[in-house]
Amino acid sequence: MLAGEHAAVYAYGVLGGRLAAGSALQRQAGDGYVTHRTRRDEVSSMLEALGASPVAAEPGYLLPIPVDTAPQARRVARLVEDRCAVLYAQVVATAVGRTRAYAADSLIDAATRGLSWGATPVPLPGVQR
Amino acid sequence: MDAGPLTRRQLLAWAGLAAASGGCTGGDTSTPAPFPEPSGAGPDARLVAQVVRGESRLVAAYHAFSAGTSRLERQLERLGGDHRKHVTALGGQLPSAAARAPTRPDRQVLRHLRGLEARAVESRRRQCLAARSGDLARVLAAMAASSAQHLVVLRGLAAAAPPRAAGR
Repeated sequence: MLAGEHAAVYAYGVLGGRLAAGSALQRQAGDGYVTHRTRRDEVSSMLEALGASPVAAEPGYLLPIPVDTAPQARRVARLVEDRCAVLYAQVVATAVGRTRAYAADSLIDAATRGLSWGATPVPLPGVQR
Repeated sequence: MDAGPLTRRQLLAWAGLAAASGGCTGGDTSTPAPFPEPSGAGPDARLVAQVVRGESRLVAAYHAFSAGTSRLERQLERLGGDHRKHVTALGGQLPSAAARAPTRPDRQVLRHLRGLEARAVESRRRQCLAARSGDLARVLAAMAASSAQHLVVLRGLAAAAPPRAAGR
């Protein structure tokens, strides 16, 4: 979960830097960056509260495709949200109580955020594509 | 950790749960039950039956307004199709397809459907938290996310819908 958020923060940081300055897409990427950075910090705090050692971010991540155009940026953002949805669906299955609620809300957010990048609705986001 | 989608075996196991809708309620929800549950009539059975009923109502609601071939009606048909898949994923029986009156969707209809979907998000989320089985919880969270996606789509469709359909 935390490793996924580290990767999402990195990806949105790259998108924000590559998209046209001041464009609606760059603002959208900025919103995604802030959301995932906040979630990264929250998940890290949750793990620390449980006595676990939060995994650190990698120095860099290999994006699945180059990000030179707006369509490529949209595709990367869709992939990021899709992978986050899968991760949080897995956490829902293994957690209970507040952690499960947090994961369910994060899954819902990833599913709807993906739509804003051009994804199409699927019957079971994060479970079946 | 299981990283893949639900297997056919898991879905079929839920079919057994859905059929056993007379199970007891309550119980300790502090630990997720292993999957599949040892008994087909476990504490999640009533939950599954509730979800099937709720999703069937959504199937019927979309069915009533997607009889035509306009882009709007095709979109509604697609969204209703997701709810049909929710019903069958839990082993439920799809409601019989009643004859559709020639009711054209308009903004009022879309507002009605948005209300149903918003309630579905809340219900599935609540049911997800109540599920003892982790796999059931995962499916219910995904259904909540699906309804949240539908809300976004319905808001987008409102701009293209007529304020009031002819003949209403």
